[in-house]
Amino acid sequence: MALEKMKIQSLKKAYEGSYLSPHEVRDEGYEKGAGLDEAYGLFLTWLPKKDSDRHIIPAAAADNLCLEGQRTTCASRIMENYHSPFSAFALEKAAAAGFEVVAKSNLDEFGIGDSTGVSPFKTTVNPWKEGHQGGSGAAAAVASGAVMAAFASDASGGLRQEASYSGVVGVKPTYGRVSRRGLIDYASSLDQVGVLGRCVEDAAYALAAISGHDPKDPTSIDRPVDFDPPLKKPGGPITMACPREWQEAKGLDAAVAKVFGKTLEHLSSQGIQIEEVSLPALKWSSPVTAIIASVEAFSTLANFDGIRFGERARGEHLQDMYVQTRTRGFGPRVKEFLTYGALVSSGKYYQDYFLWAQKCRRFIRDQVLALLENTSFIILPTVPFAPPPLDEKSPGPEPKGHIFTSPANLAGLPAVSLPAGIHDALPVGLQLIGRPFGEGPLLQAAALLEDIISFPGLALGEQEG
Amino acid sequence: MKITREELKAAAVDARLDFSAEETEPLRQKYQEALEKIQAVKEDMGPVDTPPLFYPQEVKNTYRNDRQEEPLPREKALANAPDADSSCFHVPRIIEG
Amino acid sequence: MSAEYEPVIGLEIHVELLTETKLFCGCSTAFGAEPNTQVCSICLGLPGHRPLLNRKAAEYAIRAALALNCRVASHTTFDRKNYFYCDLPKGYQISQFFYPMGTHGHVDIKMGGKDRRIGLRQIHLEEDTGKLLHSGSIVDADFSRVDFNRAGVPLIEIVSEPDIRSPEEARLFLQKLRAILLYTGISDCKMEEGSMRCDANVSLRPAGSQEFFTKTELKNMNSFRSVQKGIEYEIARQGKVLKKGGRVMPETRHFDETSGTTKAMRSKFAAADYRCFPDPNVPPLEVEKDWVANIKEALPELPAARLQRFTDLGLPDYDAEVLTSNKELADYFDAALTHYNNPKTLSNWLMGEFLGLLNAANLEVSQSRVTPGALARLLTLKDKGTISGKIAKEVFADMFTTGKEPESLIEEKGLTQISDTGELERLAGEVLANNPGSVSDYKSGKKKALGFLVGQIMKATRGKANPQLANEILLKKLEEL
Repeated sequence: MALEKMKIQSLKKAYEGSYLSPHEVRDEGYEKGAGLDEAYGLFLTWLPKKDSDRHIIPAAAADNLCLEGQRTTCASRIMENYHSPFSAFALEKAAAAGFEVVAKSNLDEFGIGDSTGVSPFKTTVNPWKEGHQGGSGAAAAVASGAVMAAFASDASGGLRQEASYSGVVGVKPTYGRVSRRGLIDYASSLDQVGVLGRCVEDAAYALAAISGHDPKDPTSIDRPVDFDPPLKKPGGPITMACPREWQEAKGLDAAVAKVFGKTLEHLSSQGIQIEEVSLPALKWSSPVTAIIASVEAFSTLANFDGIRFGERARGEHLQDMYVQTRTRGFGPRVKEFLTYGALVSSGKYYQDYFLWAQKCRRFIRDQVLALLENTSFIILPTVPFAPPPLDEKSPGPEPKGHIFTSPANLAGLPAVSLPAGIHDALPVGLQLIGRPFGEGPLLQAAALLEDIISFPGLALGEQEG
Repeated sequence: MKITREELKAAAVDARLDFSAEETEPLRQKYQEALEKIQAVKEDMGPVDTPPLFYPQEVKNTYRNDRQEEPLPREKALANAPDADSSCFHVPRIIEG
Repeated sequence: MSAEYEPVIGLEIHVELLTETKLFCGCSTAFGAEPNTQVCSICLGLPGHRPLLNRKAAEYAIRAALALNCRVASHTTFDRKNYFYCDLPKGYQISQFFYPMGTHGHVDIKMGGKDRRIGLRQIHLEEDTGKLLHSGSIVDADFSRVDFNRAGVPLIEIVSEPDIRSPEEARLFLQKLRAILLYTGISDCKMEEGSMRCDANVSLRPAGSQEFFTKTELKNMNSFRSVQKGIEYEIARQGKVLKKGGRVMPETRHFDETSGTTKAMRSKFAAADYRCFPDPNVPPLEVEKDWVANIKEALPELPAARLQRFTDLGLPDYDAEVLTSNKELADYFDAALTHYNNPKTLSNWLMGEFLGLLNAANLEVSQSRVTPGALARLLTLKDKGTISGKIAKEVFADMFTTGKEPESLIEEKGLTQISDTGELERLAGEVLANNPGSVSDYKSGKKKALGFLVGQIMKATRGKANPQLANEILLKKLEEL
């Protein structure tokens, strides 16, 4: 048995044909997983091994998704010993569909900023190349074969960024498609729970499992799930729009430009119609998103006050206790982001920055939706640069890797990142953005691109047959 | 437009955070750069007169009925508290100084 | 206060709504439970929680807005008001900052016989906070204990215009507001339990001027009396400061019940900037016209309409005011009236006997053991002459303490009025024989002596004789003498 070479579909067939038992799958998963965790710094908490005969699919969940009675840290010192009294609805749904979370994975503290994979507790290393960022424990766990799928969140592009870094598929669904209850989000109007898989079909399995209405999440929307695998082939010829502004993006690596450009050529040669268009919003989206996300984070993370939960630091009086607790409990990246949020929403800046950004959000959303009236998909690189070295410093309040991903968050649109190629032993991802609740067509198109690109996935690379 | 150290300090206090003297100036410069970038974006975009969009989906009127649900058992409610007795959370003295 | 200054007062009143559950979760709102037994991940603000709006709370806020003559918002959002305090679990309070449920309302009061209209700027729905418990005072306590049972209970905040001109007017306005809200049934408005709380913004201005000096905000006034006392003290204090050429500081001051004074509460961390914005987790509310129309349709009769109806029944203005100022009393009056169609007599009994006994026993109308039906039957027995008015009052007092029916009390104690002519004639004969002096007084023209003689019959029958009949029989016998 070689779990890391299997797709979810083949695992299911193996169970049905009794070639494999859940116990064997668990044994292998826990044993190999421990080695991979050791090597790449994947997990913050291993969950106790279960003993049921259910046909399970081993999975990981980012440590900002709550599981009842389990430690949930958001990879932050302030939450080091927090045990949630309830589970994320998405993880409950995943469990009902057979996904068994074996470990809670490492992430940037609270998921804020670029996906560096560096947290106060662990550093996740890129399984493709030593010394480089892997994005997150979830992405590296899927890439290395420690689990078959993972659940994580995406507020301005983090999930797609980590998928791109680790050479796996990452899907951020339409806002409202998946319940956000039990996700410890920081930017409530942007954050969505999404999935990571080794291939588009696995990601579709995982996404279908967690999608659906949650009557207890007021932002959850009741829409039928029409993307259960096996994914259909797209009906007719596929057309995509590629905004030319990607070439002028700040911080664009020549290597990324080269891989993405070649991929576009290759796709065109294989019958995919790619139209060059203009989407000026690409130039504005990331700083606008950073303003909105930081203000929401300033407010949303105000409950981390050392009273009902969390690590408390001593203070001379109540207000001093807040300052001590938060100053010691949060890491530098989070503090920088929260203070930025406090600054751009303060009396002097509220109108010109925070409110302005919310106006821009509508403007940008309308521009993206108008483009999607005429085309089914927008194609872009996922991240402007290759996975950086592990010691790269934070650039400032605005993440530098979310130029291409943040429009989908501002507009609440579904988007998928899939591997486009390799440069210097590191994967480069491309991104497709679809129409609202268009996960079905989006995943079908992604699967077609995946076929054409034939990316040699790390775990699936030497797959037989 | 220039962000002052005082503005930064005040914003930090409102977020109940404190930065050391060494941390403040580099941070101020980062914010200064970020806001200068916003200025450049504003010039590029021109005036934006669309109404603000606070929600990414046009969902409205999501309710529940006025029906009781099981509360958390008190031990569970207090279980994560850094300081509590058997019935209440404890906080340091309210009065400053 | 010196006459050269005029007070300008606005009130902010918080009223807890009588819903079963909290504003955004299914925890009970019952008062007085053991600390932290009515809490969940939502009202504790635990990581990952999602708030879900209680439809009834929105309905109650609309009902209050309609009852207070407000325009009801057609579109509203639930906004985060951000600040740090230990009774606020999430670090923000969800409130209707941008679009209050109601605006442009008013309450009419009578002040010194004159009609006054106090404007209401807005009514909005929001969450209540938790409660702090200290051993000793907040000043001395080394630590506080926090109970979050109250956190998330739905409140409406009612903000008046600065239309109030005296401490007494403030109290009258608050009492009238409470009466109206009690009519609507959205709150029990118990100041002593904190389900109705009042803060006051107080400032002074030179008499006749339109501009006013700096205002202070008064908190911690837990009764109608303290509202009046607190404002009185604050007006006097500000007057002294201004007279000495000083300046009133814009600050929050706590009223101290025992000393009757106000004291500044200062904090270096006072929230100056709430950074309000719509909560992305709570979608906006479109208030459909039909919904408002249905709520309006179902509104109970409010004090003003009831007052009009009572005066139309022929009650004096004063009676109608007293009866309608207390919804329970007015309900009681209406209930009794369906069995006893003499409004004025009924009103006299309610305002005299009934309120007298209730006040003496410190009870609410709802705690009375006498049902409206029983009172109506008692008054009917009195009118029919089965018992005298005096006996009726005694029976009523017994009914009040025992809860027994009037018929059984009258029978038990043999209180039926003596209207037997033969018996009364015999008694009259005895009385005339035993009081020759009074008889001769009467004969010599001192008609008052008749009263004494009737009194003697009443005494002999321990009040049970029908006084009308006794009077007639005595007259007849005196004429015959």
